[in-house]
Amino acid sequence: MNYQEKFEIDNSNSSYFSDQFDILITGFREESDERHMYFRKSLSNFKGEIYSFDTCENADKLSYRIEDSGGMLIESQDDKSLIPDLEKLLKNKKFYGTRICIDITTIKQGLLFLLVKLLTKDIKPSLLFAGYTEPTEYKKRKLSVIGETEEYDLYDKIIGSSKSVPGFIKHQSQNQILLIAPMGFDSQRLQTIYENLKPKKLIPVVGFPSFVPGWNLTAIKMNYMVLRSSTCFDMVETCEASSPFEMYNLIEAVYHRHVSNFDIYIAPLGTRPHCLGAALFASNNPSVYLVYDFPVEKKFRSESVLKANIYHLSKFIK
Amino acid sequence: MTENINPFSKYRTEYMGDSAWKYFVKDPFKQYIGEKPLIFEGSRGTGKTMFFLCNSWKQKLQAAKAEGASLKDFLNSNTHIGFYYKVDTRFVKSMDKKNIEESIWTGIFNTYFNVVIGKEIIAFLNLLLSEGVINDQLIKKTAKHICTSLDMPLVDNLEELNDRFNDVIIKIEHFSNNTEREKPIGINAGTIIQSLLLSVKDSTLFTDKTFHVFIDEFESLNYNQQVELNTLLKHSDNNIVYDFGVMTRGIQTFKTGTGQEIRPKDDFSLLSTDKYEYHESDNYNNLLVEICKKRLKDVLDKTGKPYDESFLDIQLYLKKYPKGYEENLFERSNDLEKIKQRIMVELKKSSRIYAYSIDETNLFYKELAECKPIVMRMHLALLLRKGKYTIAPKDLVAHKGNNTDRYKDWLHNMENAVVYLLCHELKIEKRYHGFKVFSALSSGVIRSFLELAEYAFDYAFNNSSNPFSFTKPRSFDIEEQTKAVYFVSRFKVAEIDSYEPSGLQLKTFTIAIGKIFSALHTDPNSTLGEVEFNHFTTKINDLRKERQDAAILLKHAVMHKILEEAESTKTKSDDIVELMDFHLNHIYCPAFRISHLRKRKLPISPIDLAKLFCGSQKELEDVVNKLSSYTEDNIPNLFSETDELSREI
Repeated sequence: MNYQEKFEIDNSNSSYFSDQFDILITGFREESDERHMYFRKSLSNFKGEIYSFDTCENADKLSYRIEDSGGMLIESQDDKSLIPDLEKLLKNKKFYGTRICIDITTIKQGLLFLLVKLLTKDIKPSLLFAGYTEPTEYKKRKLSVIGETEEYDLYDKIIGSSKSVPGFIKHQSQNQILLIAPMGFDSQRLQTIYENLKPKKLIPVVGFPSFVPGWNLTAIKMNYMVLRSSTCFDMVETCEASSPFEMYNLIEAVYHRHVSNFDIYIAPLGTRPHCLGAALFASNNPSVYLVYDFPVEKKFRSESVLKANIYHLSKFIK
Repeated sequence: MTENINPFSKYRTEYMGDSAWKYFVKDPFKQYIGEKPLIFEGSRGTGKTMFFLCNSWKQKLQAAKAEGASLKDFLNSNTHIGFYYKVDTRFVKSMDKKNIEESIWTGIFNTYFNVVIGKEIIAFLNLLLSEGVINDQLIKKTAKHICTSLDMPLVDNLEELNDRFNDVIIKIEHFSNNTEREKPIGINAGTIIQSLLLSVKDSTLFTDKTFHVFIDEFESLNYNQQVELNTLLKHSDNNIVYDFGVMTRGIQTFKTGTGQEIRPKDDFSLLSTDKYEYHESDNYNNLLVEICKKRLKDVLDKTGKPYDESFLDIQLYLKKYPKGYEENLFERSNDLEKIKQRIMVELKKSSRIYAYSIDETNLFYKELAECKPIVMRMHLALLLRKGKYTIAPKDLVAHKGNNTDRYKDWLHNMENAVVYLLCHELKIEKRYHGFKVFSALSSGVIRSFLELAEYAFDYAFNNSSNPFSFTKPRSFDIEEQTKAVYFVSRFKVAEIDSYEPSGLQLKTFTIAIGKIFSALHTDPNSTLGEVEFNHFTTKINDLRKERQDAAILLKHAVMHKILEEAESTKTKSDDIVELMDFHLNHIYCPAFRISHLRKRKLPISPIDLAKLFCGSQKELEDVVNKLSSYTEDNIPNLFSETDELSREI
């Protein structure tokens, strides 16, 4: 039976969702970042605890802060090791059996992947949700910058895909590689991963319908070089930009079609909901490889809020 | 449609699968596989993977079988038997930190390395067993010993041992993902590899054999892991030899586990293709011709028709045409008139100084402006010279009339620079053609050459007026070759940001340095006293001392062969010390419309170089603007700011 798993948060349901979880997990950002705070503020009646998680550029370290719903600091720690201290923390704080929501809007992906895996496979809360706030625009780069070919100004630097994703470390076999790559707005990220992995087959995924009409075309334009060099224009798949479930289903379909001939690699470079879908699938399918390049995001990279969604993920707890 | 297959569409060894050997040319480096370990150092695309993979037993056996040889024939005719391993970058990098001591990770890495090579060896031993070359008694004792050392249940056969090895790898995966789980056993480097390989040395067929372990992408290993493998290289003997493939500057340490160092000549042979002059060597050019011959033969054979031997020669397709093509384009340009007008302006200025009559000025104009475009543009550059370098129009006309040695020197020295000026001013693209030019543009990187050739074939196939076909091969015209060069050159610049690490910064630097050289090539007021700046020199030790962040990026630029190091040639200054020259990889030169030939070098101070690598946007723009207006009359900035800095410190 199909039932609705994605909801848009608005005045009519915010009070209801505020009561659906005991713990809200978010990223570390300045409070002046409108998108970062939007989801939390939308849940006006939320009375639980707020865990803010952060990691360093290469996702080795863990910092966290625990506050009550009024913003009063309960506990904070810096300089822990992401592995194994995140799992220890979730266990010590007895996340098992509680109701949890992860606001994925600003949480760093390197941490998000591990968190999703730990929650769905090891900790097993009673209910699991995720929230995401869509932007109306991403920050564009000023023209006339020497040496810069990127149109958008989203990252300070890229650490690189030669580092494993924490929690998804896996020895490479000698099989041929099929790479599923949800694409973003940066021309070099997919190019780099493609260059390093040398996949036999590339299936690029574009977010469509996109948050804002036309962004799907921007993603194709920015990744034109790698699409051309890998001659995979015919292979481009579409997937709703704000849906982790569609991403999960898409990967699942590709996986079952090709797993007998290829090792399946996923490089989630697109939207955060797409990253979430990839993380959920990779957590459930240990034979899949998750590859990521750990971009260091700009402090302010998007402008204003389009809307916020909430996803019900409890069915992935196994 | 075999007549339209591009022979160069596969240029990565990884995409060739089991047929890499078909494209492998053995000759130039075959002496390097011997009883002394080899370190093959080169940037990406220089053939390291091809070399090691095609010297591995799997590819060599495939090649032997294709010629009808049996396994025994293969073993009898090969003294060196190699096992290829490409470092699994993500996996080995994950064996670090996570609240675990370094020494424990080192032991786990050793276990992993033993096991992963062990699996390769098992595949070989299984083949020997299945063909009756060895019997399983030879290895049963060894398998027992291995199981004991890895604290595993004993096994009965190699397949079970292989399964146990898989279990070890999974255990390491689990531990890397969660260091709270059971810790995998740590052992010494190379012990299992040695046990497995020495177990077959008792067979008479193997007594004279040397086994090789080829470790490709050695640069991906961390410091401690490199120390462990250096130890194995140091202890290589006529039974087992460890050979490394590594990117230039990718070796972090030469230390071994016992505190000794591995040294070239004493401990290993060094094969390095990243030397500036390598692209000019016969070795490289002959290698390219031979590589192309194999690929062309493959495609021509597939047509199923007889063909002329000359069609196997890449030089037939990448034909060099006589001089004069560009000059014809210049002559047809409407913008030529503007250059003539500038000559008249300069002559009028001179006539006031030298009190030339109108008739004299007109006569000089006729002599200096009404001639071939290249000569005419050279005259303009000479007329622009000032101060002690001034050349009076009358003298210039006299030099021309008498065709003096000085005039001949000017022509010889300036012709190429004038072509770049004219291309810019008349909005005409510089043309590229000929095998030697393609080879020079590749800067010694085989993959770059193959990409250039691939696109030259692509443009020829798609030529609507005269489409190329292997049923009737022909030379490519200048336009087809030129289009390929620009396409690949621009593509290569765009590709830089995909280099790890620091791709974004390296691309910004490359474009900045390209812009500087381009500005210097196309300065309309250039007097061509110093022609075609296309490389730079810097005080390398000062950079390393004062700006380690920039020095690291410079190292990465060399590692990825964006820049090529060369011993410093003499400059105008006598007291230059500790200088290093850096050439931009030639493949980028067409994109920036600069000469790829070795020409003038631009002194860049370590401070400015640091700003080009990792300065703010404003600092970057300031340096680009400053260096773009460098002239021979300027004091080289190499000795200004640096000296100020040293005083401050």
